[in-house]
This record gives sequence, structure tokens and C-alpha cells, in this order.
Amino acid sequence: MGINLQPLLGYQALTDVVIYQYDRAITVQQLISDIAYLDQYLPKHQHLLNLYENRYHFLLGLLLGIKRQSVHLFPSNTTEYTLDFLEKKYPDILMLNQDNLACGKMNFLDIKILLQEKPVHFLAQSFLSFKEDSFTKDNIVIFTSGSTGKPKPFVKKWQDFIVVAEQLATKLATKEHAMILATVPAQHTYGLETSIIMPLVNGFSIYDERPFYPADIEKILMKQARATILISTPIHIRACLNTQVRLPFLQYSVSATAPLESDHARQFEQNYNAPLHEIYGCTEVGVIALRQPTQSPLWQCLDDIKIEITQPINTEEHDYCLRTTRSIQTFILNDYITDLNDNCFLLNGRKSDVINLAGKRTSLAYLNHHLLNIEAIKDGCFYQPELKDDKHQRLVVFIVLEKNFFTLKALKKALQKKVDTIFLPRQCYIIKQLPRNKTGKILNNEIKLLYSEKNASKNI
Amino acid sequence: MSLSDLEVQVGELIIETLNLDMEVNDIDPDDYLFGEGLGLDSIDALELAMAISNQYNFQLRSDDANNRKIFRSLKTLADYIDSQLKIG
Repeated sequence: MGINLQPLLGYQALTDVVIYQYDRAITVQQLISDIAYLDQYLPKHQHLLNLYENRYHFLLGLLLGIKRQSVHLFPSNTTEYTLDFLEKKYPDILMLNQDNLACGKMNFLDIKILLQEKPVHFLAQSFLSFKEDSFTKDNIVIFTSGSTGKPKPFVKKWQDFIVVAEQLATKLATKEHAMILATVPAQHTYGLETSIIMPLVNGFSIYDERPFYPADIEKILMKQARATILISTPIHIRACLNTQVRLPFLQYSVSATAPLESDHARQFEQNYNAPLHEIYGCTEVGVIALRQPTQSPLWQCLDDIKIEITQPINTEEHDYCLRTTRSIQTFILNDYITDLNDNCFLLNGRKSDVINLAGKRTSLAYLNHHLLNIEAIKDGCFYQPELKDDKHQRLVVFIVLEKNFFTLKALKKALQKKVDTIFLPRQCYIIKQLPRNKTGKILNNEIKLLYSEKNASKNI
Repeated sequence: MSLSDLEVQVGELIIETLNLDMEVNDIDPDDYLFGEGLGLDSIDALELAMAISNQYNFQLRSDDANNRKIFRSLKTLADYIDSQLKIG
């Protein structure tokens, strides 16, 4: 039977598998039936916050939201501060999640529980359909942490994601019936593009659980025994190599969120006998470029991306401006790039204000804003030491105190409501004065020097 | 509270792997490793899984029913490693 749920669902038949669970497969027909059942219980709302980690529950929430033309909100973290911000900004917000932790006054629904109560012989009264303009409306708001202390919104359309999904599948030469297995959350732009929208648009299947340990990935692959695309990050790539797990049935792997060591890329391809591709992108734009690092260090832009230099090359720090037909239209890149030629380029590091840890991004300005809001702190700044031993380099803080006594524990407690746990400082250096220039700007080289001096001597 | 030999060994592994600014005797064996307590997070858990796999030659898995309990404190982690070493 032919079906038409284009452009979002590219499946050919109702019997095609959308989701693989550990010992069960969910077909298009089952998905449609579950959506029809859940649709009866979804309360009226305009804004949707879908926090499910399980990809099937996330997908149900997503498709229900698109069907209802909800505005999907994707914050960069779910700290108490961020949830409070969303609740105040969008009073009718509906949270979909398996627990109502920190939902405050938000409307809350657990579709997982509802599904458990679904009658076995439930008959859908209507076929799944989307209104024509569902994909071209500004129905997505993705937040970055911004630089003013408040989450910064970027408005997108589902069409932006569909355009990326179509290109990814083609450029990565994905075979039919591939299964996507992802170690990254579905809510972040990279995860949403590669592990949700790419499989939907191209009719691939999705594994519902998010593996964490390398042995989890191994177990899923051994059990499923089908061609799989692993969507992951440098930290999981390294962890798989390091623990020497077996990863059979890989068609290819994808890494993003941080630069991958070229040795790791080579070893991973050798050990697991499958290509490893890297994606370069950002929350604001989505996927920008691809490369297979063992084949070329050059990044190749997607077809709807053009990068150009915004001013004549007369300084070392000129900007690179990206132009696209996606919602954002233009964007100044956060990275230094070189050798731009024929829409291919080399990457040469991130601008100093951007902090990227294990796929989560924030800015020093955001962190410093919240640090300086702590009463006991007179002045202070976050600092990210250079990469050591190939591990994620955690942040440290330098602080000048209003009063003499303050502990790292107290500092973390004050910050944790506002800052994602991963960015909490690992060390705290109390100093008498921060190295600032006449305009008050913190001098990065001086902080670097201070860190090397302080690193030998310990404090709190 | 004094630490057992294995707790000292695992504590040192945690400190070295995660580059923590503390001595092994600063760790209360019953204190939480994640959240309050040592304040570790998921990236640390992955780093620790790698270090444990290399040092003790067994793999950690999410579907172990006791996974949360295993990582609760230094004591529970050391106890789990001890039980795996006995099986191995």
C-alpha cells in the first residue's frame, strides 16, 4: 500500500519499520495508530517542550506537535533557571517527559504512561496528516546560552531540517533500511538532524534507546545484527577504541560537536571496517559541512551553504560569513577558517568566547555573567585550560572575593541552578585582582599565564 | 572513616582519571560520587568506565540493574569491582 506523508516521512509502506526496540519493531502503521491514540489526550497548547530521552517517545511527541502545529522549544540545557525562563516566557508551555522533575507550574504529560493504557485493538479514526504549511511556518525555537545570561532564541522551520536530512543521506551514501543508533540526545540540533529527521525523511529506522557505555553500543549491534549508522561524538569514539569493544554491522559512523583526533578517526575506521564522517555545524545554522578525515582534511559545505569573507583580507581576524536559504539566512562563523576555496575549507579553532564540552556549547560571557551575580564574588572569570591528555578539559574559575571565606562546593551550588553541570568549575583560584585592561576587558594571555603559575599551587 | 585497600586504589583511579584537585583521603567512601558530593557527571562516568575497563578488565553497562547503585559512592564502586574480580 502506497502512503504519502511527504516531505517529513519518506517511508514506502505501512509495514516499513520506523523504530527498533531491543526485542520489538514498530512499523509506520503502529506509529500512526499510537499518534492517533495519543492525540485524544494531548491538551491544548501552543508551545511544546519534549524532553524524552527514548527516541520513540520523543518521536511521538514531535509528530503530535507537528500535527498540532505546536511551536517546539529546544533549550540548550534544562537547568532550573532555564525551565523557569521558559515557563515565564511561554505560559501555555506543555512539557512531555517521563518525570515531572522541575516542571514547576508547567503543564506536564507523560505519553509513555498513556501508551501503556492503549487498548490492544485500538482503531485509528483518521490517517496521520499534516497541514500543508506545517513545515514552512516558524514552528521551532532553538536556544543557545547567549552572552547576556539569558537563553538566546533562534527561530527555524521544519523545512530547514528536511533540507539538511535529504542532503546528508545522499552525501553519506546511506543504503536503504539502515538503522540509526545515536549516543547523542535527540533534542540538540546535531541529534535532531541526524538521528531523527534524517531517518524520517529518508525512510530509515531509528533505535529507540540512547546507549551510554561502549559495551551498550556493542550489545545493541550484536543483538540487532543489521546495517547501522552510529551517530556519536569524539568522546564516545575514543571510549569505544579505548575499551576495545566489538562494533559489527556498522555501515558508517558520524562524529560531531568537537574536533576528532585524526588518529582516532583512522583507528576507528580500521578497527570497525566502516567509514567515519565528521560533521561541522552549529545550533544556529545546523549542519554546515562534512568531511571524511582519513580521506581529506578539507570540509565540504552542503549545497545550500555558501561561505564568504566579509571584508578584504587585511587583518588576521577577518570574519567568515555564511549565507544559506535556511531560516537564519546569514551567520558569522564562531570558528577561524582558512583555505576557503570552492566552498571547501580548513578549520583552525574556535573563537575564544565559545566553550564546547562534550557537545554542549556555551559562551564565557554567559558563564561569567552568572559567576559575577554571586554575592560573595567581587570579580571573577571562567577559564578553559588547553587540552591535556586528549581529555575534555574542564573549566576553572578565578575569583576575587568580597569576603574571605568561600568554598568550591558553595560556588558550584550557587552556579548549578543556572549553568549546565558540565560547565561547573573543577578548580577555583582565589586571587586579589583580575588582569583587566583599561576598558575592563580580561586579558586572555594574562589569565593563561596565571593558570600556569597557579596550577602547581593548590587552594580550595 | 578509613578506606580499604581497594577503595584507596579505586579512589586514586578516580582522582587520576578525572584530574580532581584532591587527595584520596579527602573522599568519604559513603559520599555521593555524582551531583552533591564529588560532583561528577556523565562525561566522568564514561572516563571512569574506560579506566575501569583498562585496569580491571571488565566492561560497565547501562542495563545492569544495579548501575545506579554501583556508581553511588566510592564504597559501592569498590565493592562492585571486587565482586567482578571474584567472578573473573
